[in-house]
Amino acid sequence: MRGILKVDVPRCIACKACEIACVVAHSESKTLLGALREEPRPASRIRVRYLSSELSAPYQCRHCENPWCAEGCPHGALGRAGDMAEPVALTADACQAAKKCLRACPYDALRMTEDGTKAYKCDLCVDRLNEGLEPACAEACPTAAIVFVEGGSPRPEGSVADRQYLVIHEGTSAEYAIDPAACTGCGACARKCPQQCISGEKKAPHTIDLSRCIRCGACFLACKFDAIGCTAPTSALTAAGAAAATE
Amino acid sequence: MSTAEKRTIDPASQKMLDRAKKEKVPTAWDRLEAMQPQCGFGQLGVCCQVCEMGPCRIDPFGEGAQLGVCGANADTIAARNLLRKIAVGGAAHGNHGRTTAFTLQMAAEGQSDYSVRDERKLRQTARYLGIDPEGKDTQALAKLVAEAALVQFGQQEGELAFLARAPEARQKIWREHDLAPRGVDREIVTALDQTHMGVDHDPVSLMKQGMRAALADGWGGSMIGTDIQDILFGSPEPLRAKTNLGAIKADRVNIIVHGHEPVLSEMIAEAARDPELLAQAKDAGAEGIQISGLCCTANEILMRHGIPSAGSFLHQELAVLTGAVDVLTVDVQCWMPSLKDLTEYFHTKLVTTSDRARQLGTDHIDFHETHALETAKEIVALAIENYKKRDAARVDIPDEEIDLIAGFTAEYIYKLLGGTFRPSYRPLNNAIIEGRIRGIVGVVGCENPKVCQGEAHATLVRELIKNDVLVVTSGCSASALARVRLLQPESAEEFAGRGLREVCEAVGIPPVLHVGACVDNSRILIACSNIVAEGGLGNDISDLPVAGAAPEWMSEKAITIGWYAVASGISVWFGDPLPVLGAPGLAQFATEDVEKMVGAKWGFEADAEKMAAAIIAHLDAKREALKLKPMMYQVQDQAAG
Repeated sequence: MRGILKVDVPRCIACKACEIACVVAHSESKTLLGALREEPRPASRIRVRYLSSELSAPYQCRHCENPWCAEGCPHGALGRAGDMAEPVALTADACQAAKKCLRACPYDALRMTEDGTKAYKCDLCVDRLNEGLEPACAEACPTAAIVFVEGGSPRPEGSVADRQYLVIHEGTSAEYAIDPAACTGCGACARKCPQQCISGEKKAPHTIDLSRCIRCGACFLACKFDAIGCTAPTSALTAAGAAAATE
Repeated sequence: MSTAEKRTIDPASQKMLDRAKKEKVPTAWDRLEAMQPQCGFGQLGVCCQVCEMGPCRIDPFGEGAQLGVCGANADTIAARNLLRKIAVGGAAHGNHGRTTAFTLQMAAEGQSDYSVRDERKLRQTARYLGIDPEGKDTQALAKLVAEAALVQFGQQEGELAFLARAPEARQKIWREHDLAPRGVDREIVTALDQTHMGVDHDPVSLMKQGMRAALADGWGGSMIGTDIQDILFGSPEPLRAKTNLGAIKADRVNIIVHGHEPVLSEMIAEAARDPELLAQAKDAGAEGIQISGLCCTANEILMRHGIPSAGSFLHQELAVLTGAVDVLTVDVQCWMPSLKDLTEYFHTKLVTTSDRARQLGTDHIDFHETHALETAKEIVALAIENYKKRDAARVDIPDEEIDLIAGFTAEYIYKLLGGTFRPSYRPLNNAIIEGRIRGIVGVVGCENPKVCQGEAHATLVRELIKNDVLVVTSGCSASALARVRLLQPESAEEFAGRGLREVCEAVGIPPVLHVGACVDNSRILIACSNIVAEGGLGNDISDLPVAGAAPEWMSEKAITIGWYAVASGISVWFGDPLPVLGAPGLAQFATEDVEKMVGAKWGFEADAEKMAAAIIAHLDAKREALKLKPMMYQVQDQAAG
């Protein structure tokens, strides 16, 4: 089974069920109580990040077309095992802990093991997919903020994305915006934006062209000055969201 | 294996689950599936919702946050959560006991339809409450006993009166570690107080209050409940009865009483014998009026009157699915909110009867002791009326109706083993000392759709009795064991080891003794105390080769019962672990360190066979510490080669 993960940011309630499910799915025992006792301790490949007081989102490898991490790796440890339907995989045996992938990824999706010898990342639960199961994070998500779409296209209809992805945030009602008062015009966000839709003069406030934005959040991660915010008309954690849910 | 076979080992349940599937009616098992996967933070006990700086949760894998906003670590958080659960379980049993005390009080004042049925138990209970029964008439004594029982709840200082029924050595341990409960309500309130934001952060201190509150249940709320119910409704004595969905009869008006407090159901049983109502039922075309029970209300009326039990906790939805239940009354605890929608799917009328247990949109017939019989008759009349609306074409009742023996109490053991003329625990103690009986294990507790219904109970108990362990059982566990025929004397021959079989055959008892509802686990505490008092097996309950087990538990009451057993010196095994495993320090305390304090500890084991092995090893260790002889037939068999 192959497909894509659709992430709807306003539906995330930051319960971190995906994180726990991810750890369990990547443990030896595949059970919560078993995973607790394993050495080395199994780790989560997904992180729930705080976007604003009302918004959060799960961050993981997006399995991009022409992934930056693979380009950055001097040892050829990262890449696809086939066409775009296959996840971007990290071959642990080839990894020599150069850590270049960590810096190359705009989504902060790679991490080092506790002993610092290997990088690890989301594998889209490829073992589960091969067994006909959906990725653990999607299965665990109680609010359908992460949904697995079997056979889903890495470039859905109406997408403005320049690259294809297997984890797609585009289509969510959340919007990223730059606060001109806080923006220093350093350009970090513009350099990380895969759509190159952030523009502005040096040392002057930048702006996001929302018509080209795929809501991937790379800019949010890149900004060192808390100048980029995320808003949504309703979220699961606002009163408006609760009203929308009961309608 | 079909889905139904994976969900339950009971053929009657399987039939109803197949029906549910066919008719697309969801049950607890379906909702559990929809709930998967369940939250890991909750399972591990490390989600804190105590204050509004939170909710906080500790990452059990060490990467994320390790402290809550206030600075509480996993141990503090999990201990506070657990203490709250213990308090709730104790509150449930406490209010059960309080209800019975009020009923006795009204009976004594002649204000209600109830009266004292067991004079002997009344006099005995009076002595335990410090009242001299000599020269007092029944009514006057009943009034004093009821008042003294009520005082136990509101008492502020001193100790609960029933603690004196425990062995001296046990009382000493309680006093030494500040575990002796002062009053039932005080310990519950104190437990809740200690869990407020910024009060007690020491997991051991929190668990000590947990044990004190739990003891206030076992030796307080529950024990008062059991004793006063015996006074009001009669102490059980062994009798034959039947259980499973076959108790529901196609040709009769079916009333099912569900919940835990038998005060109303006792009256419904009486109302069902009313000639006028029986005539009405005949006029409506029914052969008669059939009362059956569910959960522990079932156990209460089964133990005392042999009224059949339709089943245990997970049978409640399945009973409705027979399409033949005309009225389902519920009192308190363990009735599922799902019953409202489910009963609406059939003609069944769901009736809530307790002022503290209602459901929006469900008929409520407020029950009060002053006009109990009148209310009971109203309910029976409603059932007859509703019987007329039953669609015979939609009735599908499984045939299963299993014979069982129930009605064992701590008091009855004197007669049972010692005889009428020389009642004594001596034969029981001797059987343990000589190595015919390895030890005694209370297999109790709920059912939980997370595990195949009844499988762990049956597997564990078969393994225990095979190894000469006498089993006492209560609550939903008793129903589950009855369904696999373990509550029949014949099962001794089929399953029990040679030593246990000899004892069972000599006395004519099953190897598994049904001691009642979950509130009656207090009977096990008394039985253990009686064994110690009889002599020859140590000075304290923790010296005895005994254990407790709840392989399919789910409720907060089960947690409280488990803790009062541990605090009384009885080690306890649970199937699913307590929600403490995300808190290493607390887990260490519960499964190891607490033993140094109270001589007993917790074990968690999901595999029933492994649980049996662990329990048997525990019993053997206790036997060895007592320097008892090896098991009688083990020695002989080994000698025979």
